[in-house]
Amino acid sequence: MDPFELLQIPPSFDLDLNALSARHRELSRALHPDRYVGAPSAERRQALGRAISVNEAWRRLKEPVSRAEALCERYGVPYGERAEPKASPDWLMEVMELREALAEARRARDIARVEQLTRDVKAAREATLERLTAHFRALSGGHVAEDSAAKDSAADGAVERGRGEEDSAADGGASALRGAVSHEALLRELGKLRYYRRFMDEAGATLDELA
Amino acid sequence: MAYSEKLIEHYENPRNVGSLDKDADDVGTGLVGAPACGDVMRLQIRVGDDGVIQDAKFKTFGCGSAIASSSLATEWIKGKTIDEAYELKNSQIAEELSLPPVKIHCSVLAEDAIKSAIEDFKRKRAEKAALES
Repeated sequence: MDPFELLQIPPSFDLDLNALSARHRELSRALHPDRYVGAPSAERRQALGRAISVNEAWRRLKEPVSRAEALCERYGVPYGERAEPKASPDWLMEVMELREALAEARRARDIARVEQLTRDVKAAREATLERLTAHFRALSGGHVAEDSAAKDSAADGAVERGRGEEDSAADGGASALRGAVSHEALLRELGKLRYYRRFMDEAGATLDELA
Repeated sequence: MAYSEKLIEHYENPRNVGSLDKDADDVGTGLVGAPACGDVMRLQIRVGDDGVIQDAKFKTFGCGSAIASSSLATEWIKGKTIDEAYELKNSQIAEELSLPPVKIHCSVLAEDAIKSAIEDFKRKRAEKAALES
């Protein structure tokens, strides 16, 4: 079931994490087995089942990647490995440079450098989170996000064209193109978010190792 | 999962790791990958006036199969003309290394890297020719 519906919170990407935790606590308390002592067993089982679903929904929503995936499901955007657009040359370059820099810092046992890289990636991740917020806001029905997100996606699309796959979409009229292009831009940002998470894990492990 | 000896050999002793000057006229650079899972592969070639690949270097962040695939790829394309190298198929790499089905995409990545390095070189050569004419 849709985790937003389950927790009864309005679907958005930039949700208030404190409010999310408060709602999770509130529902968990209401569904706690202690409250069902003496209740008919069917009712007890049902409450336990709901408590488990509430926990699962909370875990999905508090982490940005799985929250984005939940929103993709909600809006019918395919996001699996197959749906992932080909990485742009700039993005591949950024990933290569980040990985080389981290490997180099690890070899040199340069803790300050690893910390600097972590800060840089955190900043880049913030920007990606903002762009994803704009994309999901646009998907939620408001066509307000004709702004930066749409422009970014048009630029990305232009860079990637000639790779073959987008060419057919270009024939499908402007509105179809806009739909396809903006999903592609969204999935690109989601891919970045996945990579940043991975990088943070690796940088964290490197810091543990060097400490 | 059992990996072939050849694969392990290339993984443990990768050939041609490193980089060439990407701004040099006679160097083509291919950068490919699936960054969301952290895999990224850079393959570079230095091409002579006769169109023969004189040197090839790679740097791959990824699983053992990705490293072995790019290592083997650089070994194979050295001494070949760019046209011959362009014909290299991922299935040849997959077969040589006995890649398991879930790792076939690593050989696809290596093939893509070769092709994009050659395309980069050709683009540079065309630009240079345009400037000189």
